[in-house]
Amino acid sequence: MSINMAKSQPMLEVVGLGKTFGGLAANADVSFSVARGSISGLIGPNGAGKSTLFKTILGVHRPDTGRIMLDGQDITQASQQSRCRSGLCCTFQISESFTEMDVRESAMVAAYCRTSRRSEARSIADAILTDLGLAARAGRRNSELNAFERKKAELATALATRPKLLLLDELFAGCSLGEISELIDILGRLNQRDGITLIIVEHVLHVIMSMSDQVIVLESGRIIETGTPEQVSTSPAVLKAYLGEDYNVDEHQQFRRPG
Amino acid sequence: MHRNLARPVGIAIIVGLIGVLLTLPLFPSPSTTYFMGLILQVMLFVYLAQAWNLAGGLAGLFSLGHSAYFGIGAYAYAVGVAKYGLPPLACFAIGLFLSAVLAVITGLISTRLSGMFFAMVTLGLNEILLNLASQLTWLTKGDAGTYLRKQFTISFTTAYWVFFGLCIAAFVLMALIRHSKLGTLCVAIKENEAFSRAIGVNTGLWKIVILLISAAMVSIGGGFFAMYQGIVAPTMVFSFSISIKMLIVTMIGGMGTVFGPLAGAVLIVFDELVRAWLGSSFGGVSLVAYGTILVICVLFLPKGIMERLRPASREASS
Repeated sequence: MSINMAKSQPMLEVVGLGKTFGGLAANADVSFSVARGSISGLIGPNGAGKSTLFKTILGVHRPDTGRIMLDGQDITQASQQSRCRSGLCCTFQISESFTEMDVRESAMVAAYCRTSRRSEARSIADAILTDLGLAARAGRRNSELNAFERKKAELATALATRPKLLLLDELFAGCSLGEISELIDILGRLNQRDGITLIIVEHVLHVIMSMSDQVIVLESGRIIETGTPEQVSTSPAVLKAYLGEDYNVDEHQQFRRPG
Repeated sequence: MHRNLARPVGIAIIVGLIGVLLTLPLFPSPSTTYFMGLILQVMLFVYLAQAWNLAGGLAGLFSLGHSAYFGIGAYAYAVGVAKYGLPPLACFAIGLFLSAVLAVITGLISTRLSGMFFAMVTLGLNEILLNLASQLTWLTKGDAGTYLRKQFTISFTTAYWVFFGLCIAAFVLMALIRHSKLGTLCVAIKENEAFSRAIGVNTGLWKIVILLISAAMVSIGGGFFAMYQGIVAPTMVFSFSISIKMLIVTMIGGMGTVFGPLAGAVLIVFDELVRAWLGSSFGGVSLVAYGTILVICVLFLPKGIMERLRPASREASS
């Protein structure tokens, strides 16, 4: 899927976003846009401001400057739950889900932002758990799952809010190669079949390089480069700041997106 | 006990218990009267504990000041009928209204403070009411307490049936709420408030809703308590020990579980029995026993009795 900004309104548009903690500018003048139905990667060294940007988009932090537009609607001042209802959801870096609650009910919590009927919430949850191959674990507590199942359960919970735009913060961290390719399959399906726009914050670079339509590189709170994986991986600024000067993009494209 | 036997055994225990409670008053004798008194005491606290369980157990609103609603309910009834000659129903309505106001205030505070800080604020709110009840003598007759004339009180047997009914209603309500949208969202808020917000839960709203229900139940309990006691004094109702009993009964039984407050009631039974049997020969022994039970529970049943009885079938379902 190619980026075609002229044809349709972007799914997400961030303009001049800035966020300062004390004297530290975690984000400064960050502007980018994400096309409808695309996959964007957000990369950068530790402390570059990825998590701050992520949380500001989600509404955990209020930005000091700038605007955030979701699907043409200004959500800069909106609460987290109203952003969620507008179609923005996420998974967190550290598995943030519930512990004692079972997997199905966790997804139902999310489904309740679309419906008030229990039976409907339950069928939304069950359909998603089946789609992610978690149906057999539906009655288990999150704390009884292994790390990979917990990641998928968290993804299922996020999906139960029926997002248009899904932000994934280091979903692949700590996964084996087999698990990574399973997740890539799942994400590809969500993107292609369900048309969910994805923003992936990730250190596992071959995932970013093989899946993304667009890669955004942050360094010291600012965007230093935006472009296709090929453009980014040959940009001198990016090689210097993050990838390392002997980086070879071809080695990192072994995981092709399906379709 | 095999874990998959827990459910049928549990149902048998509950049916048996309801049977005993229903038939006991049919055989009047000094010893049944003694046991009915004990059971009434237990039912009062099981009811209050279930009300606390809704807010504290399901939604994690760890209130240390739930006796505030109890006192408001009790005083609304006592002052209403004794001082202003209002009909009992109107007094309950006033009690519910005032409790609702306090619940909304507490709920709004809970959106800013959580955990220990929230607990401290609720503790403080109860202390404020305790002092108001003691100082506003023109309204409450201060520490002397407000007495009720005979026609505004209920008999021991009536109180027994009232609290029996309230207990049944409380358990039914809890079971309905636990498996409703409200129950699911409350558990989500308790387990991870930040994550709940991120997946679209309006956490402030639902916390206020569950606090309102919990406060209303405690307030009704306070009204009937005043009716049964015939007197309401500040330290009788705005008492920290009532608040703490609500939460300890719930915690020992299992926070957030439907039958936790019932399982936790063994603590009150135990406490009363020890006091009755050994209280005269060895004063204070019930407190020692109470403390010992708490320590044992914290060590061996940190999540309560119900956690141990959780059916194994769900774990083995895959």
